[in-house]
Amino acid sequence: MPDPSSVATFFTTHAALRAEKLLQTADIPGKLIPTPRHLSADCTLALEFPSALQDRVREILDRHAVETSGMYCLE
Amino acid sequence: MNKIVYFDNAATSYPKPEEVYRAVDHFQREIGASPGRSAHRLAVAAGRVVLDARERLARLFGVGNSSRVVLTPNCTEALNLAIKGSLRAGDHVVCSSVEHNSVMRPLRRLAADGVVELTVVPCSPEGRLSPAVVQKQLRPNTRLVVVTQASNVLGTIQPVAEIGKITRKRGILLLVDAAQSAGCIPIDLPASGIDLLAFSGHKGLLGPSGTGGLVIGEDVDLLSLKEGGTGSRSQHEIQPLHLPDRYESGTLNGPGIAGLSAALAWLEAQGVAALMRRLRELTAALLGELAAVPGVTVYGPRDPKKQTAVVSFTMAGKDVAAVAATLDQRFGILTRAGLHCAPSAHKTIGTLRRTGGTVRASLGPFNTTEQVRYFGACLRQLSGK
Repeated sequence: MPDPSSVATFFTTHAALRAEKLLQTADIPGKLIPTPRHLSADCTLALEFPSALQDRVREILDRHAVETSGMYCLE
Repeated sequence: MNKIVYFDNAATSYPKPEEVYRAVDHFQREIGASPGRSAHRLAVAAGRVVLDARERLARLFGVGNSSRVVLTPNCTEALNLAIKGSLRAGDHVVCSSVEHNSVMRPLRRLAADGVVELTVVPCSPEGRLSPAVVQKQLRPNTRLVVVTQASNVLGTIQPVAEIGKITRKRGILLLVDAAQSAGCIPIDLPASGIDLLAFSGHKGLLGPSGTGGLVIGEDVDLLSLKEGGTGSRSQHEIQPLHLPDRYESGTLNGPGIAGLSAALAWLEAQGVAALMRRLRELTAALLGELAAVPGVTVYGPRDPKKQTAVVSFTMAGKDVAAVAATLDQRFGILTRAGLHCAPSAHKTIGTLRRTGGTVRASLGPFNTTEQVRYFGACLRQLSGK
């Protein structure tokens, strides 16, 4: 069974792309995906990453003032 | 010398670094899509190009948060956003007497409509603004001080950081018009007390025309100048408040921003301080050539350390437009004659009515000492002495 994934959603494309770049720099596997419509309609792009790294992802985004509109565990 | 000598870099820089042409072409052919509008691979690639440009601009101006860098089609729109987005009915605003019309006209209109009171602070004959005189003009209802960092007519560099200390202390916003200074002299927003910095992408930053922007300080809240599609929060019919989207309605200029990003990478590699030193050498050579031409009057500081590579002059007994036309047609030297969209600056130096403006020679990083010498020789020939 694959590791569970989490999704961060954003208010702007800028924030989503910046988050992707920050995760890359921190060697965290992150992938931009079309935002699932049931989660958010704020921004077209969302960022998927392993749920086990949610705390680290939160910490990195906070430190760089990248605002999220939500963070969800995918079923 | 049959080749064109381009001395009109203060209007727009030309040529651009080779990388700029390649980046525009690459974006048009290989990316093409609209940044921030879809989730497919090309839209994401376009978004990354915009992100890179924004982050390079943030680095260049000493700003930590790149979402505060708002991209606009030009510096004029950035200035209009800063001015009309910050001023409210009953406010007082101060600007210098060497402002470009992109500052003066929005301010004059707001004053004529009875929205604001405007004080234009006279500069010295060299175009310098005194921070002490600015301080004396401040009132309890002064909300904004607008200063062009380097005059587009005289090149005069203003003591922005000193003015920033005064405005900071009084809680007044400082808007800097960096159209002529960005890319030409190092700029550090936080260190200079600048709240709003409007810049052009196609002059000293060496990007394509159709690019510019406004850097908005962390605590500054502006009303938007226009509302529309942002590709975000599309379920709401009211404008989103998140930056940069709040101020960036409508499709961004992808090819232009790709070119600007390449230009910024080139500037980073060269170093703005190193380019400034090189332009100072060229300016010194240009001032030396002009001093050797009989009948020429040079305006502004006449000191490469106190100005950018912009030099205005007149020739005794000669019409400025005729001088520029002859330089172009006979010698292939491209300058700009007239008022340079800054009548108030010409009033300051006494060339508004007397001569109908000046001839302006403005240099860029691709000009050479040889071109400057050739320019001097042509002017001596023109002077007939």
